[in-house]
Amino acid sequence: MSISSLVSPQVVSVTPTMPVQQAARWMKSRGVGCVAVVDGEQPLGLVTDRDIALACGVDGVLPDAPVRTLAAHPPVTVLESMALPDAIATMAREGVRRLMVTDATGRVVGILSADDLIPLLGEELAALGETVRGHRPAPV
Amino acid sequence: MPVSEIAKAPVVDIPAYATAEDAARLMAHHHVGALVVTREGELIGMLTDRDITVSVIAEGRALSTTAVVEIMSPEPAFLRDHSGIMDTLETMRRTKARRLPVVDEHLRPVGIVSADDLLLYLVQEVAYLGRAVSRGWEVERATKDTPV
Repeated sequence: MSISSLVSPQVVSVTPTMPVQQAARWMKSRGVGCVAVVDGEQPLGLVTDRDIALACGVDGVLPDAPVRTLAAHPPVTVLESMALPDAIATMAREGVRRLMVTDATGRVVGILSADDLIPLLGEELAALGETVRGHRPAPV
Repeated sequence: MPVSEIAKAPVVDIPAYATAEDAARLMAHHHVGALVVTREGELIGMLTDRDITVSVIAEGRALSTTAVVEIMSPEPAFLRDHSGIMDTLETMRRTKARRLPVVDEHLRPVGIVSADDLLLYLVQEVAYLGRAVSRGWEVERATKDTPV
């Protein structure tokens, strides 16, 4: 199973020059905890609500600073054709819970989040549970 | 298994009159995403890193003059220290809260349990189960040699 069908396509992309305060407003109005900072088609990084809270509250970043200030690290990016176990292994190796997913041309197609995978694995386990229960001898 | 045994993160409390800036500093220092808000030691609210972003920064308010009590979630759902795993899952599902404070009989916070804690606990149980099943076959191979 490739990850292409599991990617959330409603990725909220922001430009590198958007002020931090506006990125925070977008997170609020769109109900997301993370935005992708994208320069043209090139992904620069992911910025989370926690990144903004700590940057402004602890590091003294001003709310009118450009959001690219917070996208210091290039995002962990994978191809949409990657198999699901490889994507999960990438999350574990890199210590991230979100992967930026691109097509073969490098265009961002969405974000794969650990939160989206938990219900999927839960459903698989539940289906297994029903199978096992179905094989149990009926009580006498 | 009582929930207090699987709550991994330290419980970090903050008084209601502290500022959002104080809260951000505590969250960074203790590497936690949520604080329990207390008055005279009793739980009165929860404050997350997201609350700071959407209720202070997005609204153009100053972190140094916004009080925690203005932006916290008041009267949060909570668990008792002896609550079980199913209670915890059910309360999270009902309240849509990913983190819940755990309190003693005097409403004093003694822990905070997150959806991440539950995931790690459940995965470990499944992994042990997988090992038991696989070990069962190994034991049979090692102890019973049946000719065709």
